Amino acid sequence: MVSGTELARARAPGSTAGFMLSWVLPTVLGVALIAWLIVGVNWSFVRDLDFSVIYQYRIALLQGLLNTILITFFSLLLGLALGFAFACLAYVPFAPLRWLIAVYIEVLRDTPLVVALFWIHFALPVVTGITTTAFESGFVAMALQSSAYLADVVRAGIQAIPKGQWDAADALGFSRMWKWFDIILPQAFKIIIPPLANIALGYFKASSVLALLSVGELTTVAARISNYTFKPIETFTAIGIVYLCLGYFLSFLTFRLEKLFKGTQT
Amino acid sequence: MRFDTSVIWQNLPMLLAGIWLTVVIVFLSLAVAIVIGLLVCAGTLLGRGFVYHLSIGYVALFRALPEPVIIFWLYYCGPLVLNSKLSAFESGTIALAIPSGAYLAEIFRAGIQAVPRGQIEAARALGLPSFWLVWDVVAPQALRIMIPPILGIVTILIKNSALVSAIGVEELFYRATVLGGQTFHYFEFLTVAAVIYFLMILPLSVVVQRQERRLLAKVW
Repeated sequence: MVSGTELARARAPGSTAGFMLSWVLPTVLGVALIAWLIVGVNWSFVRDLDFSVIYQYRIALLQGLLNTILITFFSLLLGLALGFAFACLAYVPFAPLRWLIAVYIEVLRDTPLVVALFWIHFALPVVTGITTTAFESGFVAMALQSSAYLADVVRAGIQAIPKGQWDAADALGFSRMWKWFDIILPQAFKIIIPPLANIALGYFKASSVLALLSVGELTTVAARISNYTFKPIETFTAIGIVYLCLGYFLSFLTFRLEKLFKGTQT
Repeated sequence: MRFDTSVIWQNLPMLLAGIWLTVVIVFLSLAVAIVIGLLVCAGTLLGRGFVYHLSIGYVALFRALPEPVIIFWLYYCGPLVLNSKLSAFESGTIALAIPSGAYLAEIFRAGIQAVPRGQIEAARALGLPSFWLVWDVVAPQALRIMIPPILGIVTILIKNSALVSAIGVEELFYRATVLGGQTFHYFEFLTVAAVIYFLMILPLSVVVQRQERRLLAKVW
């Protein structure tokens, strides 16, 4: 391990490289930053800040936040169910099905969420004939894409279960279904909680991508308010703070959840 | 339903221009992100006091903010806050580079810290000057660890580059949606765009996954 102090000691006195690295470079950068802040920034914007817009549109913003939370929660719930299904189906001894699942996972992992979203909203109705609202398209896009990531996570969780558990289940005469539902999946679930929490946080952030289709979540609402009131600084800063606080609250929660599960006996 | 390829061939130059701009945006914002990442990483490892807290704060802030919020903030608030005017292309590129810089800083820091301490002690015992210590001992070993996660960041960057279409940068996704709207052939254009993104990301993703699997094999 190279700690910060260890590298700091690399700034040996007398060596030119050390001197450049420890004094000249930070000073030059600092001076450049301050000069840019003075010359490049038009500070008069501070006088025009008016955060009353946020209070005025609080109901719309709260509605947007609620939509963000709802769409994240329910699409991840569906994504997790699909992810478990795909991960289990990957154990079915029928190769074409496994290839199909592998292709599905790879395709959804390697395309941007916006593209999937617009494809579902504009292209899928051409194929199926069913039109969806923007909110439904957003929900489906997030559920499908998260299912691909979660299938990988669940598969890794299943692989992490010691072989002894499988053997023990067979030795005790568990049927195939009960082996999965009573022994393998509950243990896999405990293992996948940390990566699951990461993905959940990622999709909480990614839900703002749905604003490109005006799905009606927080970022959509903010964009509308800023267009209507010409107060982009206030609205976008406010929702940035909301995303930040809620994101850190969620990561705190998952940290507690992890600790809780670590306590229970596997 | 019919997949009408003739529309695609007719508008191929537009799509190619879109692909080109996507590639340019990805490379430019990657370059800016690497510079940001190196500076912030140096700040977290070497800095003290204000510089250290500034670097830590940068990473904590921009890893938690959604990319569209950063893009919208820079594009809509930029003209109000800055004296110089940023074009959509410039603000989009910078907005993509800002969060990637935060991720890269963490990758650089983790990579440097993963180099065994004994390597540095040995180099110091041999009397290696500090510059060569970093250049010859730490950097090559850290770089090897860092390459897969950096490729992961590149894939995320390619995916996020589609978001700058929201502020009117005419990259691949923007072209696909506009052409789809003009010709009412959404199905063809969006499918082609999805396939192109897939082909751009797939090779990188395969490398990253292979590396991950190798790491997992070590753990289990």
